Amino acid sequence: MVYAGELPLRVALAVSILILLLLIVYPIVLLITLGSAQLASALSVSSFIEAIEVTVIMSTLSALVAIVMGTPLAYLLARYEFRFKQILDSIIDIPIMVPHIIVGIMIVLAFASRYNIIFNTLNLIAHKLMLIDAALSRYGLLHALLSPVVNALVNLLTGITGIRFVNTLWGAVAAVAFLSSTYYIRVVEAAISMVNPEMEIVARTLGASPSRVFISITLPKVWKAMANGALLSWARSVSEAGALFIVAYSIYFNGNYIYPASVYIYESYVGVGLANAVKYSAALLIIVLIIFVAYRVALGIKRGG
Amino acid sequence: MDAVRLINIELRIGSFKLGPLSTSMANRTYNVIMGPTGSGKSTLLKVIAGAYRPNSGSVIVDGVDVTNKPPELRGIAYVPQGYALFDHMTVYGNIEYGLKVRGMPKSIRAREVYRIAEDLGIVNLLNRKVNGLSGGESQKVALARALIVRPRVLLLDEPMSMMDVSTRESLIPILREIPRKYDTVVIHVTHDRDEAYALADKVIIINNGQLIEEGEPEEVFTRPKRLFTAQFVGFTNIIPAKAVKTQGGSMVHVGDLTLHSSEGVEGNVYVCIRPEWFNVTDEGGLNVIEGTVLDVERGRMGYRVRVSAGGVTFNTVVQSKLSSGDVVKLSIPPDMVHLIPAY
Repeated sequence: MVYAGELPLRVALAVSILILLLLIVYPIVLLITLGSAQLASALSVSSFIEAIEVTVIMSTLSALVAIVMGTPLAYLLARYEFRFKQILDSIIDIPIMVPHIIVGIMIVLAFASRYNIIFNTLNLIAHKLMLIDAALSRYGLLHALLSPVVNALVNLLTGITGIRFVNTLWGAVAAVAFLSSTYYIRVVEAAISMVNPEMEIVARTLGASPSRVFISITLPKVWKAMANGALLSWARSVSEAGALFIVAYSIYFNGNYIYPASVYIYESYVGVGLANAVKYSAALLIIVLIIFVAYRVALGIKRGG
Repeated sequence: MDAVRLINIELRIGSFKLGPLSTSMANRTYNVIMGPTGSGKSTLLKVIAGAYRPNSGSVIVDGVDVTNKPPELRGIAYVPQGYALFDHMTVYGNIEYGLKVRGMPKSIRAREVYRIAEDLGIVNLLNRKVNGLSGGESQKVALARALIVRPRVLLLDEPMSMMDVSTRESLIPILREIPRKYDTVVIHVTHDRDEAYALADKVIIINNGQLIEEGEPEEVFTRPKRLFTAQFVGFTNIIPAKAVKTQGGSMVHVGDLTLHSSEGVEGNVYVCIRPEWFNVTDEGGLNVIEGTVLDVERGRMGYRVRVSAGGVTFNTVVQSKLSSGDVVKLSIPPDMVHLIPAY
């Protein structure tokens, strides 16, 4: 135990604050100072506004994926011991460890290449269904009855396999959701594990169904953490560049190809130069910070959620 | 008919095995499950509540097999250790909860909450947040929350472990009257023998997941059938000996001493005597032991004195202050020399 004000603590603190200032505060302050003068100019560029729009939409969809996928998993991990828990735990950590470029490659491989087993299988089923439909055409009444069903199924399947992942919102969301869900799951898992499980048992014995217990007992205690986790994963998606370089360098949206914000800034840096990139970087940073602060104020999330 | 029946309950959690265990409890009775830490008593309570499904066996409530029913359909209320009050609600919200999830109209809920709060003397707490309640107050709120749904069975897990002695004593009469007042069966888990003795209509002793002994407290606390029970309920004198049957009882040889017991047993036995059963005497006679005081310790019930006599050390509780080295005569009536056959 070191007492506050003792020399070793002071020295250690001085070093850590110096590094903090140098590595984090100084670059941020410099960027915002230089860039804020040009904020109006950046925001008057319609292609940049579109980039921010598409990025916000992509990140919000990805946060929704995190909530849907992550909440039950977080509950499972927080509440139960089971045989393959370690494996599940590791799978959830994988996105943090895999280089983001590789995540992009994996998404393309899985959903937009000839190795896409899922789509290939669905296509095969659709093909077989069409053959069955053709064979049925000999039996008038049966064909008349079954054909609409078979056709609807075929349409559904080909509809799914028709989804394109490269340079679309689908692909962009898949890539950033892969990378950002972990943050949501970990935050919510920690919050759920803080809720006394005996409360849930008591509520059950008092007559509440499992879903009622979740809504009336667990949710009131973890919704702030859920909101906080969703915000974290949202912010993580906004900042993604690496995976998007592979999957969605530009996103086809509303009839145009639009760069995600991070790619937009990269393009402006490589194509025009540092000063230009600083302008857009500062603008994006300010917008994200405003959204961050507004969201937290609106939800009344204090530090630690 | 018994209100609660447990039939061959068996549950494995990791390396711990509960059961097979069978017992039953009558309506309007106070049942105390007593056992040391880790004996499986809280686990058994959770099996009855429905938080754990047993690997085999049945839980029967009022003749209905509820083993495969979820907790909300069992008619069983549960007060866990530490109470698990819903700390994001007021006291009122906590008590109201069971009626609210049943969809009862607000006016009826209010009436019932006030009625039960009045019963337990906590009307003044209704608008309070649960954080900051004392142990006794929390306990009463948890009881009100459980009793308001008129459960067929009320489960209490170590309900007094977080209380000071005086609060504990003031709560005993309240707990004691619950079975008859609310027409229910109380199953109370504790490791505290005083608590069990004060409250129970029936005591169930468990250890290592197994039911060791059950019965009325007078029986279990004074005439235990099993060695573990004797140790657990406070027989501090448990001495291996040989017994010979005599007319009207038996004679046991303890060290160099001979004691008479009114229980007729033959063979190897454990002589079991509660420390407070000895009397200090001046006279000689049957079952009078003369020995030397080894040491003296102050206790709540008197002085705890260890006396060496005939090669045996006896633990007693006496009211007069003795010092080590004193010679003392202890008498023990034959009907208080309890013998448990050794197998």
